[in-house]
Order: sequence, then structure tokens, then C-alpha cells
Amino acid sequence: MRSALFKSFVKSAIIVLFSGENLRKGEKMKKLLTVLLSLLVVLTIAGCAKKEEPAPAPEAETPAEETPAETPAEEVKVSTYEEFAALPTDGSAVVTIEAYVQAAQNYDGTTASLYLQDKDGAYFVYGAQLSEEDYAKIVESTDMKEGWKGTGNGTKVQVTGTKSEWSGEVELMDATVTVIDDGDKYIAEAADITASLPTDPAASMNQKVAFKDMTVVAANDAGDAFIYNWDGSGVEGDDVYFNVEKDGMTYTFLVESALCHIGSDVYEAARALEVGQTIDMEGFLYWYEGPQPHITSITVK
Amino acid sequence: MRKIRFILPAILACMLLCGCHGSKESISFVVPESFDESKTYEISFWAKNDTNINQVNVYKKAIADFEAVYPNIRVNLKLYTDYGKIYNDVITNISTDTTPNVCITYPDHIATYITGDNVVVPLDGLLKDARYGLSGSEVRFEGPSNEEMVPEFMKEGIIGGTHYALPYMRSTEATYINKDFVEKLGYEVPDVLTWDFIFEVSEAAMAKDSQGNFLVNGQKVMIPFIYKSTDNMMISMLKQLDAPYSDENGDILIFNDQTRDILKQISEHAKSRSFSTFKISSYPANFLNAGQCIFAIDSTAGATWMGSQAPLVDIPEEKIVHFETVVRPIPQYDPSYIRMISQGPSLCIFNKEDPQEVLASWLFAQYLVTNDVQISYAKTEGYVPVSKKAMESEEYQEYLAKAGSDDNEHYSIKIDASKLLIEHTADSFVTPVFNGSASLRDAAGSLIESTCKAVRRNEVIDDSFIDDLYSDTSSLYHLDQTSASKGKRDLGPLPVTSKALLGVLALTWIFIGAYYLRIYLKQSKS
Repeated sequence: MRSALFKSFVKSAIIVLFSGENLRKGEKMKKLLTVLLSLLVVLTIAGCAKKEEPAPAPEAETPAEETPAETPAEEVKVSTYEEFAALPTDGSAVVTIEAYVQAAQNYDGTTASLYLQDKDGAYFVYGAQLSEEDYAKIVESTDMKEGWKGTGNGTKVQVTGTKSEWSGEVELMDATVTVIDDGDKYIAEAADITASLPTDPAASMNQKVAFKDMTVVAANDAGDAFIYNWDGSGVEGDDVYFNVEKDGMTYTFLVESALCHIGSDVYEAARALEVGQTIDMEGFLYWYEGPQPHITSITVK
Repeated sequence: MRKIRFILPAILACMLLCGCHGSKESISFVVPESFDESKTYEISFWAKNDTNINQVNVYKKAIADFEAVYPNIRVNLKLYTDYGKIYNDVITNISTDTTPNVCITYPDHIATYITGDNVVVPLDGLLKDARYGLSGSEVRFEGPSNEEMVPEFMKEGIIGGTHYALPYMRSTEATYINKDFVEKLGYEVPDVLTWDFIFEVSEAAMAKDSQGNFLVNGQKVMIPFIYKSTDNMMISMLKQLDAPYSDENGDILIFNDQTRDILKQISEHAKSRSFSTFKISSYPANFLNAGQCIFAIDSTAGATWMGSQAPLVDIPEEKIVHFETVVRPIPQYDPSYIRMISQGPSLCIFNKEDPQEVLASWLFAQYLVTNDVQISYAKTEGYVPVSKKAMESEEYQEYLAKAGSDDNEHYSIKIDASKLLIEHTADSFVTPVFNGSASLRDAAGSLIESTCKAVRRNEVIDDSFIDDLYSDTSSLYHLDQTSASKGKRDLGPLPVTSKALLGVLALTWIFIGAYYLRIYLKQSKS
């Protein structure tokens, strides 16, 4: 680009300078100034122009004899859910599993936490490295503005990570995720665990679950139906906490803002709750020092 | 036509040169002659709280009180519970020129903000301004003077010789100890813990009965020693050893032999599971209160969560066990040479086109260091006010004296934690601040986290492992690319086109000069 511009300038300059031999000296000076100023323009444009990258040299063909012999890929042992469940949670077990993405939260451009499930069980993958391209393959929408919900599209992934426990939550940490984009998809049905919640909630950890006919009770002493953050110290856009009661037991549920942003149906439904309402809910059974479901849908009865 | 042929390129050249010079030049702040109270100013304040509603209420009251003093200033509060999120949002908003007016931050973060021109307002002029500076003649409320601020805390806001941050609150780290368990294991809690002591007691606590229950607590779970911030752990250990970490020029010195020895020592205790971290296990307070931890190291700003009687708890009531909690400084290598980190939120002010808006921001920032705000906020956690005026006030002294009189405002552990920093202010330290120091801090913690995780996966922690860890950590945190304040990068010789451009520019002016000189001489002859 720069050389072409310069060539056309030189041509024009020659024409301007050497035409009109009969001009007076002052006019010639003006002409020279015109040329110089034009040269200034050309050089300025050239200076500001983006440097042209040389065209990449064509890749040299690899001689046939130099092509490495095909080596069989190292066999990766993929554990079943049963095998995964039997492993210790003290961080000593690195395991590979395959399951289907049900939801994704907290994607920051490089890492995301995933709810995975197959027909045998569920997993929570904490802060796994994920490129934008791969992330786009596993969620329904990547437009993470107001109203966004981290709904997974059921794509199969292979995950290798360390089985750990954090405040009771069993998870895979330091994980690498490989998207198996072969059309094999699975979206789990929400299992109704209302009855087992008081007795054996851990059996459903990380699963897509449903709760039926629960009553909204006050979230704080002031009688509010919900609060932002666990102690009310948050503002609009933060996690929405609310309490529900069933058979004399009270539980704290929340709409996790990193999973369902402000403006999403469930976030707004949680903010519209009133004490005394009877509601059905769906979500994922996250754990923090006890069951603490991340709710993804609320139906007021 | 000939004239046009001359004028057009001239105009075009001027326009191009202006265009190449950058579209916008930000203006540095100059303190206005006086504050214009006839206009209304709306300023934004991005504040951080420790997920503590009492702190939120202090902010809200401070804003209401300030607006009553300055009715023409309206303050919009945006709350955060994480310094990292404020940092990310500020960085995003610098590019769109939508930064807040005032925000709570760390000096490490300001070092990145100031890589942009005139983004953050230098405070040197404002602090000393006779009219609007600290306790200035035109300030409508009673605040501390420069001399009444704690000098150690004020110095922490100086970056590259310029004052960019006003301290808001200060804290340090403390060791919260289950005294009953230490004594059950046959030890006494010393006034100053050493690393050797803490590791020895922790190892002793790992003994189990035939059923696999820990002897010390009779439970299946016991992590005797948990450190919340491994960044601080590594930084403090190096400081206590006078070992290199970094310097003011932004040189990264952490990858040295003392760090190597520290990692090897930690790996032994991570292997026995007597030591763990927040990132691996969870909040130290939860384990301490459940009788599953003996030494929990966390910020003094987390003191209200520590101990059986803690006003804030995060575990079911039935899991809490009752024990005597005592507070001590973090472990030391040499008890006669105590070193503990100074941390806590600071305030910075962002530059705006209207200097009056900046002055309004400054007045609000200054209000946040008045006694009312300082004492109220310090009471919410184990924080310490940043002014001597607040620290020495009757109200604050009375608050300290009432330690243990109740388990809420005067919760003894919280006040003991505050006293720790008050008594050891001279022993506190900060790390050098430069563009990249926040990454180095993350890397320091990552060295410990990675070592502990590797041990859990049965990897061998030897020199080869640590060499690889140094290399991986350096590249992951871009520590080989920190620009710091190392002076301007040598850009090499000028490109040929630039040289030609400058030559033509000079030549053009010479010819213009010669042309007009010729006309002048001609005219004077005639």
C-alpha cells in the first residue's frame, strides 16, 4: 500500500514540476511548495498506515518419509459415575469422566464452572479452563448481558480433574475440558427431591432437581421475602437469597447471579416473591455447609 | 485554482498531523480556586464490604451525613464484596471513560490504573491544600489533619513518589487459636508463635485412634493449620527472612532459594495433611468453629467469624464446638523480629473533565476519614482507624476497653485482633507497588497452592519440580513482562518513513520561510 501510494505521488510530482516551463520564478516556488506539502501528506499517510505483513510463505510440503508414523493415542481411562463416587475427596485422585453439560456459570473468558450430568449421576466442575469457542458449543447463549441464563445445551464433554471437596461440595477442580461435539446430547429431567430433602439431600448433590409445594417464609427479621447476599449486604444484581419451608423445616435457597443474571425470568421471579406464597422450583443441588440449591426456575402457585 | 492547489494540501497536512496526534488528550487535575456550591454534582462511590451488613449501613449513613453537609453533592453507592471485581470493573470502565468518582481499592490495583494518562488524581496537592486539604479552612466538617493521619498508613498510598491513595481502614493477619486443643496436646500457647512451633503442634494433632478418629477432637476431620491467604503467607515468610521478593523498580525476585526452602517445608506438612489452605479446603473459621482446626490464620477483618461465640457463623449451630479462642500474631522465624503485613482498603479518586466534580469527590473521600465514619467502620470488624485522631478519641478508646463485655459489638476476639495491629503498627510492612505487583502477589500464593495440590497427587517435591513450578508460574502470571517503573522502553531507531517525513517537514518550512523572505526583500526593494 505504502509503495503504491509513493509511486503515484512521484509520477504526479514530475508532471507538476516539469510542466509549464514558462512560469515565473515565484510561481515555480509555489509549485514546489505544493509538491512538498503533498509529499508531506503522502508520507503522513504512509506513516499512519498499518504495516503490511508479508504474505505468509507457503508451507513446505512435508516429505512423505518424514511424516511420523501414526502412533496410537494414549488410552484415557474414563471412569463411570460409580467409580468416580468411590474415589476419595482429599485431592489425591485425578479422574477423567464424560457427561453432558446442564448449566454453566461464572464464565470470565477463560474459566467456567459447569453442572454436568448423565443418566447415572451428576458432577460439578469448578473453574475449568475453557476457550470462548468451546464455551459457545456448550451453552444455549453466550450473550451474557442482563437476562442471561447459563443454560447448558446438553453437549457431551470429557473432563479430567482432581476430585475434591470444598465446604461439603464434591467437585472436580483444576480440570481440563474437551468438548465432544458429536451430536450426542442429553438434558436431564429435574428429579423431585422434596421428600428426601430433610433426610438424604447429599445423594442428589449437583443434580438437576425439583421442589414442590414449598412455602416462602421471611428471609430476615424485617420480614422481607428475599435479600441480596446471604446477610442482605448486597445490591441489585447480586445473589438473591430466600427461605422456604416444608413440613416444619426451613431451607435457604438462592438464585446464583453468576448462573442466572439480573433480568432473567428466575431472578425477577425471586425478587417478586411474597411471604406465604406456595411455589414450585427447579435448580441444581449445590452444597455449601449443607444443601444450598441454585434455583433456575420458580413457579408461584 | 493555483491557490487551491496550494491551500488544500496544506489544510490536509495539518488535519492529518492533528489526527495522528491522538483523538483525545486528558487533562490533569488542578485544584480549583473555590468549590462551586451553586451547581449540583452527582458522584459515584464503588465500595467494598466483607459481606457484612453493618459495613453497608456505615457507608449508607456516611453518605446521608455527607449529603446533609453538602446538599449540592449526591453520592451514588455501588457495593462490592470482592476487591478483584472492583478492579476488573474499573479497568473496563477506564477505556470508556466511565470510571467511578471514588472507589475503594488496593494500591497494587492503582499501579495498573495509573498506566493511563491522568486517570487517577494525584493527591499531593489536594492533601496539602490550605482550603480544601485535610482539615482545610473551607472544608465544612471536622476531619483529621495531615499530621493526625497515621504516617505508616499514609506512606502506603505513595506510588512512584506520588500520593495516589488515601488509606480508609487498616488490618493485618492474625492467628486464631483453639487454646484447649493446644494444651490437650501438651503445649502452651506462647506470646509469639514460631513456624517451628505451629508445624510441630500441627503434626502432633494428626494422631488417630484405631477407628480413624483424631485423638485431639474425636472427629474424622482435623486440619490443624489452615492459612486463608497463601499470597500473604509466602510474602510474610520471605519478609521475616529478609529474603528477596521484589523491589520498587518492579524487579521480580521471588524465584530464589529461600522460596524453594519454604515450599519444601510446606510440602512436608501438606503431605501429612496437617496443613491446608482456603482454596483447597474452605474457610478456616468454619473448621476452627467446628473443632476441626487448631490454628486458623485469617485477616483481622475476619475476626467476627472466629471462635465458638463469634457473632457471625457460617456453619450449622449443631456443628459448633465450645473452646477458648486466643489471638496471636502470625508465626515468625525470629520472635524478636516480628513482621506482619499491613493491608486493608484505600480510597482513590478518578479524574474527570470538570475539576469541580473532582473536588466534590475529594471532599467525600475526606469525609470517609472523619472520626464518625472511621470509628463506626472499625467496630464492624477487626479493623483499625487510619487516623490518630480517631484512634486516640475517647469513643474508640472506650470501645477497646469494653472488650469482651458482650459477644457482638465488643466481641473480645475482634477487639484483640484490632489491638494486634495497634500494638504492632511499627512491625507492619507492605510490599513494593508497581504495574504488575498484583500479579506477583497472585503468583506468590500460587506457588504454595500448586505445591500443596501436587503433594496431594503424590508428586515428588524436589528441585526439578520447583524449577518447573518457577517457570510455569512466571509465564502464567506474565512476570517476565512486567513493565514496572523501569523507565521508557527503548523503541529503537526511527523508521525510514518517519525520518523522511521529518525531513520533508523541515524542508517545507524552509521553503515557506524562503518564499516569504523573497517577497519581503522584493517589496522592500521596490
